[in-house]
Amino acid sequence: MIDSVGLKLAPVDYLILALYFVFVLGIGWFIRRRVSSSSDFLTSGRSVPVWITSLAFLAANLGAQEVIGMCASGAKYGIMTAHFYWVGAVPAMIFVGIFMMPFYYGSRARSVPEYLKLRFDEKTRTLNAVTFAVMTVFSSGISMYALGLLFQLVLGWNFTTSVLLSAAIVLVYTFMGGLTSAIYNEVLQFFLIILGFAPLAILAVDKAGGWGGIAARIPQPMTHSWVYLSKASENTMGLEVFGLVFGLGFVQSFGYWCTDFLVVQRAMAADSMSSARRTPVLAAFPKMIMPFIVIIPGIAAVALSSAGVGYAIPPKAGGGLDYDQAMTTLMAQFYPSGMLGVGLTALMASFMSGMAGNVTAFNTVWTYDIYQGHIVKNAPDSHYLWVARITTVVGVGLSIAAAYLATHFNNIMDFLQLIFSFVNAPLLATFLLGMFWKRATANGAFIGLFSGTAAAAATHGLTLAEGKGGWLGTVVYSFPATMAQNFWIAIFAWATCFVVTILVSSVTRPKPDSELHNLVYGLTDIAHDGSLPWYKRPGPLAVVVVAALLVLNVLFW
Amino acid sequence: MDLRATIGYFFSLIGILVLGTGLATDYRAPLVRANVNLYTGLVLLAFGAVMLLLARMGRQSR
Repeated sequence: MIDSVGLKLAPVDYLILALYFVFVLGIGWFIRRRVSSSSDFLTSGRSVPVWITSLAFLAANLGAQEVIGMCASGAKYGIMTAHFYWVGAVPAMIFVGIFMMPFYYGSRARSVPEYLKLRFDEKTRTLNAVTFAVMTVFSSGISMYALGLLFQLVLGWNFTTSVLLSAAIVLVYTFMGGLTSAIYNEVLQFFLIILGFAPLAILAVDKAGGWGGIAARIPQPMTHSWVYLSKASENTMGLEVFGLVFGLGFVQSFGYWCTDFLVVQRAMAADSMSSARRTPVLAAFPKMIMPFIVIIPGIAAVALSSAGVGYAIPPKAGGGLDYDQAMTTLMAQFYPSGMLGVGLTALMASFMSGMAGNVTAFNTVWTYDIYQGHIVKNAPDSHYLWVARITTVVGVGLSIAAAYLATHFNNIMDFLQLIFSFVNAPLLATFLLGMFWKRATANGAFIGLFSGTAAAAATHGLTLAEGKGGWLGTVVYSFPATMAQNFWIAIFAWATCFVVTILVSSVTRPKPDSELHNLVYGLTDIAHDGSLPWYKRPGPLAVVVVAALLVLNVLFW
Repeated sequence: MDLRATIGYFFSLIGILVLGTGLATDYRAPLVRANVNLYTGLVLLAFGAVMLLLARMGRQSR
């Protein structure tokens, strides 16, 4: 057991945390009156204004693992970590808003798997629904485990207490107000995360002597995002441009942001088609600046460690540095009691926003796609509302169980996370073909998805990186880093699904055009919005985002 | 429920708590010479006030 880093909290810190709990529960309490049907509970009755859905879209992804993990990656890989935002997430968010939302929202599907049912068939939907349900339970369990461990390490809090307390609060507010309550809280949590972490970035960078001072103390490849990408051996991630742009940028990021119901659900709760399309585009603005709040502190931590000011990233029990502790140790050194309470509450908020995202996505997919799809098909709506509420309780219970499973079988969890990272890659091919090629057939999609996943497993089994993979016996190729291996696995999974879906589709019978209205490009009416001012139209907003993105990439070239 | 008002009250309250801590005590973080709570408390309070103002403007325009 590693000693706690000795964070001492004052009463004011606990008071801030308590105040936060009161507010999140209070939001749930006020929203509960709005819930009278299963669609109020699970889809917010498609009535949420766009500024709220867009911030919730971002916050649902901003879980504790994202915050802690991105800070850790900043410390390990440097500014190249920003590619997850500037090459990955932001372009993907633009794409899902501009090109895919007309079909998600226009089809009137209540979930991503339900879109697959409308576009393809029941078996494709069920495959996606079951994988997704299992995935969300485990991801929220894993992040609960990470949070409990961190609070134990930093504050000396009991693991069981912090896990159960935070899960109970999420359960109460999602149980009372459903998706609307989760979304409203995510907006509060979003602002808390920004205001709680941003001062840390400013203080840490200032102490390290500004960006110039940081650049002088750490290896060159850590302060440039593109310069060292021409050779895989020269940069920190072991990547070259193709692996980065196609693997991370296209397959992994588009796979997540364009197909994962956890985020797409927020946009689908918007009050109109225009709002739904603008949701991810507007979310891209704050997403772009997140690297300054979560990655830069990690880089500053590396510089501070060599500056002899009394800060060092703590070592890991088994050797090396424990980068996951970079964020919390910085807080301990830069925040006095008072602001420290805000910082820790922000960490708690990020955990809760991620977990509530998982829970609300899980109960929708379970209730509509699995329960209503297979178990009880034609019950009155009040029955499904009841099932949705019960599922919320069960979902939180399963997450807690998964968190405890993680404390006992850490290797299994590593393996599961690896599997999850491949699920979305083939799915992206299925959605792209499903939405933009009306000839794609149900059997093509189903067989394509299976072959894509098999290709992912095979690639992992035949390649080796940092001792991982290669379980098929022969090693065909060795990657310099697991990061590179993951991207290539995703690329092979995507390409296999893409090709197999096309091949099988061309020999199977497609759905007639009459059944594909509002589901496929060419058979969907996309409303013209030319009469609105530019800032209310997704297209012009996207152009502004892309321009800002180019500037950021050049600045950190 | 106006979410802007809720967020406004929340940040005003924690802003007052943090600012108050900065005024009443001299808590210093190990690596910072300044009294951080004074500055961050002001920022939190200002953000809360802006959200409350937005909520008020929203009510009037309706």
